[in-house]
Amino acid sequence: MNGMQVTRRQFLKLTATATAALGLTEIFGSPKSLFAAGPIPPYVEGEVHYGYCRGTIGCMAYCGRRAHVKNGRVVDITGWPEHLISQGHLCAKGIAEVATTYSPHRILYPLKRTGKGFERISWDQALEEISSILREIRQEWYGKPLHQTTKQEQRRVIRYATPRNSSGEQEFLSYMRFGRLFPSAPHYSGCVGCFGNWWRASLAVTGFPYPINAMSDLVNTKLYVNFGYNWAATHPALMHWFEKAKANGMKMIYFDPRYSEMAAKADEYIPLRPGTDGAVALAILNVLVENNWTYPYLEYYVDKEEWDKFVKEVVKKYTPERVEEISWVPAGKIREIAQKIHEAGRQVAFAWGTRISTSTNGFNTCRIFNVLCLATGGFGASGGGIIQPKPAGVPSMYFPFAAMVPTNFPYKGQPDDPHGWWGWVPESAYGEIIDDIKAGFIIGGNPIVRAAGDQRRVMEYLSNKGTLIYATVEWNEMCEYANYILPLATDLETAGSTILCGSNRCAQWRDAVIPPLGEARSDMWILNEVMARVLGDETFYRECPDCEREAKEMLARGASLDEVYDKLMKPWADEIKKRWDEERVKPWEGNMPTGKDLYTIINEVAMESAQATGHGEAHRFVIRNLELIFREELKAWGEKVGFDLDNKGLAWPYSIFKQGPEALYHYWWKLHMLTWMVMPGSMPAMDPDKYHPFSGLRLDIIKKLPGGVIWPCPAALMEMDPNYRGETVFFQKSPMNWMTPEQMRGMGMEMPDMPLLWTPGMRWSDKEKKFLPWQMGKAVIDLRGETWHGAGLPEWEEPLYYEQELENKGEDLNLSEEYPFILITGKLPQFILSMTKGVNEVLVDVGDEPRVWINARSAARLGIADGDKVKIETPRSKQFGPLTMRAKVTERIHPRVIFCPHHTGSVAIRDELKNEGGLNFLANTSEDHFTEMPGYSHNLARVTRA
Amino acid sequence: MAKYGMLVDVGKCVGCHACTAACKVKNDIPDRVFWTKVGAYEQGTFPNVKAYSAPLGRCMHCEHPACVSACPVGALQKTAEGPVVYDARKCIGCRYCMTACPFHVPKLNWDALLPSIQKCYLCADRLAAGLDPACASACPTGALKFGERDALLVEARERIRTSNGQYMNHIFGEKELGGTTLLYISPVPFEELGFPTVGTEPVTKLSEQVVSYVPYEIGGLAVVLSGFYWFFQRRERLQKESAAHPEAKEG
Repeated sequence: MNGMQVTRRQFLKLTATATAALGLTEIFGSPKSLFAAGPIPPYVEGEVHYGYCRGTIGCMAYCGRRAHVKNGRVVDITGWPEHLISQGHLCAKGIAEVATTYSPHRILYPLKRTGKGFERISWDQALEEISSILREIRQEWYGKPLHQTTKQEQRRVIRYATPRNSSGEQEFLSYMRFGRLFPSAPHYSGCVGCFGNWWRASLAVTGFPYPINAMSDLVNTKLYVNFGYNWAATHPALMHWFEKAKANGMKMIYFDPRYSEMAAKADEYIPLRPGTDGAVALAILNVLVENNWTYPYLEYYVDKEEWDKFVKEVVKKYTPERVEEISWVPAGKIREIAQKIHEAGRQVAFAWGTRISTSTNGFNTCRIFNVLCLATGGFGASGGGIIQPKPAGVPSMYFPFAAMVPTNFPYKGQPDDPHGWWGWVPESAYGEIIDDIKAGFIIGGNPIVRAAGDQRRVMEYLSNKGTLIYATVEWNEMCEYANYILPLATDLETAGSTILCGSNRCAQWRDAVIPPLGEARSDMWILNEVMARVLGDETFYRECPDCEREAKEMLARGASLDEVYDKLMKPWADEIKKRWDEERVKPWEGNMPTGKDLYTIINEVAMESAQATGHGEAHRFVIRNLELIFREELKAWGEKVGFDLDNKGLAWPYSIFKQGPEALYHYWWKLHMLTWMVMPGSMPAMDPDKYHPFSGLRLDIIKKLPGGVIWPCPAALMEMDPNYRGETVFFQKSPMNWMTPEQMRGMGMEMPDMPLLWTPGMRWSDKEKKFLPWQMGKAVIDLRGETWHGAGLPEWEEPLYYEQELENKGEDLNLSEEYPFILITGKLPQFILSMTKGVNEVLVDVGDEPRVWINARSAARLGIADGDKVKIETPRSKQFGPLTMRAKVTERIHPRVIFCPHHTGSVAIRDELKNEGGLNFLANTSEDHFTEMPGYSHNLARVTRA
Repeated sequence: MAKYGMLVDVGKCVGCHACTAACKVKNDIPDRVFWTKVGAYEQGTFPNVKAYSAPLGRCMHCEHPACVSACPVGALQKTAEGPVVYDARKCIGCRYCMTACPFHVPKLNWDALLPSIQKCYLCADRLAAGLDPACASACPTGALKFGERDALLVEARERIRTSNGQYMNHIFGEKELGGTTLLYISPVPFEELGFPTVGTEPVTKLSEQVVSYVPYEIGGLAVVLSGFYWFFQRRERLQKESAAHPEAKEG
């Protein structure tokens, strides 16, 4: 009776009040309205930063993007509608850059491995310790001229990988200066991993590594013959060009053992045996030749005798009937395709993807494709030739790396140049070097997931016996082995250009959107700080021991660097420039050149200098240094643009790089302008003072244009009869020239009225060991592979799937074989390359689950249902174990073939993404015997339920 | 009919997930919650195979939204432009909209202390600023196209016509449920895409008719009950009066 007694009246009052309150809620809403977000607020763009997407992920389409900043934080990334390349579109990867930048898995401070884990250290400590280690290693080889170090020695000293989170300026530092000045062969070089054979083949055949058109040219294509390039998945943001081309009537024939995203867009899908694309291309060529459907002016580009030999000894053997047996493509279908190619005239474009490059027959297959392209007359025609998003078209490939690295001229004539960007240390070399590796300096890339071969073995060795220095954005598999982890800035946190690695041959600029989080730094900053400490005041003259001795003596006596330059270099630089004025090549007047190219002049003066000074043979490497030759011009340009661009003859001019990416861009651009003519085998068809392919790539111009400049950058286009053979072969009119010269002048940009680019007009003579002029101003198609010593005529070879050819080459799956499946690799639409794979929260959330694709009938035979966990085993699994993944049971793949996406390894934010360590450690390490490229896209495998 | 529409062309989608990513990042949507998601379909037997992707699970922004009708607090609202928007402040987490929606679109943030629903609002904020929704803006193939509904219907019919029989001869959303802002054309039958089979009558037609009588019913009931109350009160009062003054009755 006492205590909590409630009368009926009280109860009624209580419930009435409660009901009334609820009624009020009905009218006014939940009490949490006091705390919850308001109604949809008005759209506020925030501070908008225009730039190109490099996407810490590393795709090289370089779409335009706008980054939206509110209260100092990037809250959104949207497209840039006026952008030349992307026209407002983006893909998931670029948009997800926000998630990368603010990821909780980011490394934000330098870390050093201790007995128990990692401790945070300061940048000063990290830089000092790392430089000290590298200095010590350098002492071991110091004194031996760089050009005398052998391939093996370079592989022992140090390893480095290429940065992905970078601008062109930063890649310049990493690829070129760091690697060469150190020196070391690249352990694996990002782009080589995919396109190594692609480039080398194009270089070998055409003299030029990137004979591709800008994507925009696709709208002029009538027939697109695409061998496995699945850019609907890898570069979807560029698919608007495809849609436009289709609307214009373009048809696509697409080859792939898998019905990929691109297959779904094809007018005709043709499956084939992995690795046989080259045979199919030869069979198509066979039909073209037989019917006289080849380009009528073919002999203008290729030596007639050579061509006839190629046809007789190679092409004639690859009849459609023979190739049907090889490739699974019916002979009748091959004939049909050849007919369609013929009907498309010169407006037939080709594409061939990375999986063709990353094969043991990749070099020759890619050479065959170049020849097929030539035979259709596609080169030089709008809508014809090679049109695909990658590989990137790189200005720096047009001029010698010697400009950046004063030691030896690049690839031309040196196919095995270990310094070259083409570098890759194959697993077969590990045995001879593993005990000697001192340090690994790896920026951005993740070799464990990305590269082929037993990368963990290398990293483990480095971790225990050497030093592994790893700069990264986020925690990944490499961190498990690193001794030092350095925090890397992301795409949104760095400024720079695409000039080194611009896809679509497009040079653009971006500013940093936000300052780097935590203590993250750009790869450019890291490299600059380390190398300045390692090299100190070392000069370029060190290439010649006699010059170096003289320089040191002078400096010890109190002479300045200027005085050293004046003594050792200036007279020869002046002599080179004088001879260039007097003897250089005259504008093209006929079939043979008159005058000398700069390469020849420099070499002549270098030899004379060696004799005159009495210095050794190494002396010429000092004289051949383009940065030294043009030191004064660089300095003058710097004064004009407000930067100190004087290298002072130092091997690492810290003060230039310290001024940031803009200064470096100016340095680089000016050097390109000055040294363009040096490229071995290159001879401009026109007056180089008047016509220059890089002039429009000036920083102030590219900053103003959305999408920068597609180069070579003629403001006015040279009109050519499309049926004429033309002086130009590889570089098309740029249909993206969306500004007329008048408009450009209106914007205050004067660009020269340039014709299209010439083509290499020299060819290497093995006999005379030098370049000889040949068909000046016209393309040189080299079928003999002379620039790649002993390559011979391009012929298709059976791919090695794992150290051997397939025994069973037929279409039928024979489950009694130990490894009955052919395993091919590839990408998922939301991932690319090796970073941020399993740790980008947006991409992991929105994307496809990584699964191994198995044909439904094959899966049924194995008792595998969709979604089952399966074990994939290749012959390497005997040593390394299986890869476990869920199965995607589908009709979108040939019954004998399985497809496994790479990208993800053992580190991921969701369990379903994790596996034992990524596909590539099980992948084929057999090499292309011309190039040492691992053929890791073609494997043997078996699949069982896990 | 609402002014704008969004044409979703299943045949053009390449499954790049740009739309999903754009939506996620712009709206800061939690993990494993999607206001649009790409589904994949295939038909046939290798090599005679067809494969499609499509952005699915999307709010259709119905002309006669069931969610708007069902919401007891008026947190959801159909705009004249087309988007069905909502005010999370008003949402009481009752989930009536989730039950009502024939496409199962609204999602609740179950983990919140005071949960509310969330769904696509067709970037009404961007539309007000003269921009397309984030998903359509990012889409590189034109699989998502935003514009005036009438014009999109014309375009959709043209695409179907020129598809050489590849596409279903139907625009899903033109008339379904009285019309929706989102309009789908597809080479894949719509049932296989997971669309419910619905008629052309709005979902809300019957329910709103019935519910529209409720004020009258309540009003009527109130009048009748008041009548009863008055009657019985009066009787009681008369009885009391009669008991209190018995002589009055005799007199």
